[in-house]
Amino acid sequence: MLLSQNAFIFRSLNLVLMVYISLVFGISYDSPDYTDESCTFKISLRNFRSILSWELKNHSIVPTHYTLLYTIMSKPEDLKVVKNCANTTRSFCDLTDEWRSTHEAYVTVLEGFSGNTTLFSCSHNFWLAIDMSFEPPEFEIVGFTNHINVMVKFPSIVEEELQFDLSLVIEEQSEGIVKKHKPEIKGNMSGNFTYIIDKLIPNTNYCVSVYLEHSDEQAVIKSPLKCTLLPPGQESAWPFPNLPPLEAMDMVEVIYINRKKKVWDYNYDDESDSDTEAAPRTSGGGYTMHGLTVRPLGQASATSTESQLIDPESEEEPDLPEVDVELPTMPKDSPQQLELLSGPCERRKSPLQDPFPEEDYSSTEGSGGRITFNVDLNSVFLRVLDDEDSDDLEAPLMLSSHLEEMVDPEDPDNVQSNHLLASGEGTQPTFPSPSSEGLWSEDAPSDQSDTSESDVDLGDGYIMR
Amino acid sequence: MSTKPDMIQKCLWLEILMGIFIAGTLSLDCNLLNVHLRRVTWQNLRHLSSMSNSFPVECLRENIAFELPQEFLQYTQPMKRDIKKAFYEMSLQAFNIFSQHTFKYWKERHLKQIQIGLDQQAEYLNQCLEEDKNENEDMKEMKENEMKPSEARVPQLSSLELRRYFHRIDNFLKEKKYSDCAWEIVRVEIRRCLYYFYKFTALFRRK
Repeated sequence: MLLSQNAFIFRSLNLVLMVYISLVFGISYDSPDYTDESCTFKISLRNFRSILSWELKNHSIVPTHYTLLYTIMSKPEDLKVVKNCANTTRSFCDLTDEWRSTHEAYVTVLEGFSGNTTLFSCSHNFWLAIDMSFEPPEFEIVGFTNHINVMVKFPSIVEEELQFDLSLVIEEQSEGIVKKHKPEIKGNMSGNFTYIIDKLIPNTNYCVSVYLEHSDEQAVIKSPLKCTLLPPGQESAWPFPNLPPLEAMDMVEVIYINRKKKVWDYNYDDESDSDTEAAPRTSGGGYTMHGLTVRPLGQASATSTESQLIDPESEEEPDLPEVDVELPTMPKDSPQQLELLSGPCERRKSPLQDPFPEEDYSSTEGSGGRITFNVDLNSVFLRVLDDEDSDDLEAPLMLSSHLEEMVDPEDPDNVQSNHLLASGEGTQPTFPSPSSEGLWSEDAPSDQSDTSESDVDLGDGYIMR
Repeated sequence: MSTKPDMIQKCLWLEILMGIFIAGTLSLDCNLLNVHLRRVTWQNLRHLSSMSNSFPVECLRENIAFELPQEFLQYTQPMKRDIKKAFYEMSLQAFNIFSQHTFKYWKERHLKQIQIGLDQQAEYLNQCLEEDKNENEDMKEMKENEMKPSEARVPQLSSLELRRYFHRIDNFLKEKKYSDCAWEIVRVEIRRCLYYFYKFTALFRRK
């Protein structure tokens, strides 16, 4: 009985001991770290030099100097000391000449000393293809009007074996938009390399950053941004800015208004044009006003309108005192940037078209008709040829290039004169004469009139908006 | 008896799904497969690297040279098909090695991913090899007529040499009784071998 009890106790103790021992060993096996990681290592490629740097986790340990040893793992070899990093006070080491293969696994041992005492020893296994981080190369940028020269500086001599599968990435940033450029570099990344980022907008700020991308790795180190403000584009001698090539044209309907010295009685015989925006305006004062209401047909969003302004006056209507040109309200969502033509007249010199031949406008004068043609309001050059009523109202009418504010035809009082300036008599036109030639057609049909009009009350022969 | 048609129906669905899957993978162009292969191989390399946090220095004394076949190391312009065959062989052998033992301290997740990855590698390579085989049968006659003496001397990658290499690895593990140091050394060696093949995948891209 006693024996069996003893046996039982003995077996229990045995069991407990076995469990305890196995637990101890099991826990020790589960420990992921062989050595306590007292050092943090980092290897990076800086100007194509392999630089291994380290840092102690326990900052209370301050060694006076370090010694770095390493070996390869493809065959059994003893650890060897890195010559330039024996008893060094620096906490980094250049291993370019020692570690020359991306296939090899390098085991490094770092020993820290304080005097003759070894304070610590930590090791790490490196595989350059995975562990290497690539610092961005040095570069410079030079900004021109519409392009930037990016000059990347690579070292002149690069070790063959240290050629990783790298590609250079140049990032261009402007106004929140980032574009990546991946220039193809033939051969090794050595020497200076220039890349041109073109098709840029003048007078805009651009920032450039470069970095090296390694095959399938995602982590990259980007260089600090270098920014430049591109110079503005070349301005022409012409006081008005250069016009881009006219690609889109606004169809503008010029409604010629012929008024006599009486109150217009809103006499439309047919339907008025539904697109008419201009509100009829009475011309007070008992004088005749000729109004040319120019308004774009449809929803064109052209940046400029081209026009051939018809001389509203013709020999057949000698009693036209003045010409009033008024621009109706443009749709707010399509501001028309009207710019002046500086070149030769490029406008179509097509004959006047009457898109509404079927309409029969009657005017108080008996002449009617609505003519539609392209009007380049920037180069509208109105010469008021008023031979009879005004003295010498041969004044070119200049349209400025900022025709954003349009006279609201429904607001006849809005006659800001900063848009349309009529130079009085004797003022020399600053436009080149060809533009005026292109604009003027003396063959205005005499039977034009428009029953819809918007006028500005003018005085003294000045045409104002 | 009434369950039979149900069973047949279930099997039928399974077969249809399998057929679609196989057809899908078979229809992949070899170039696209190569892209997948490259990506999978790189992932495996990453897993092999992150499996272990640090290498114990004391394990260095147990290190041996496994002598990866020099044919791989000396190749500059290998025959695509030979490399693919060797890569396929290597994937299977490495899979076998890693399937032998589970490691208490190694992360299970990484190990499983490596096994899956190696299996995928083998699958992609197998398909490409099939495709190449069909293409090359026509070209074979032409090549035989054009082959110059110098080309005949180019050594072909031997599947036997590769198997011997993995046999050495396997023996090493057994001798060291699958110790942690032994596994560390084997892990690094297989990674080295895989990296050589990874570099070769760049040559697989057809022009």
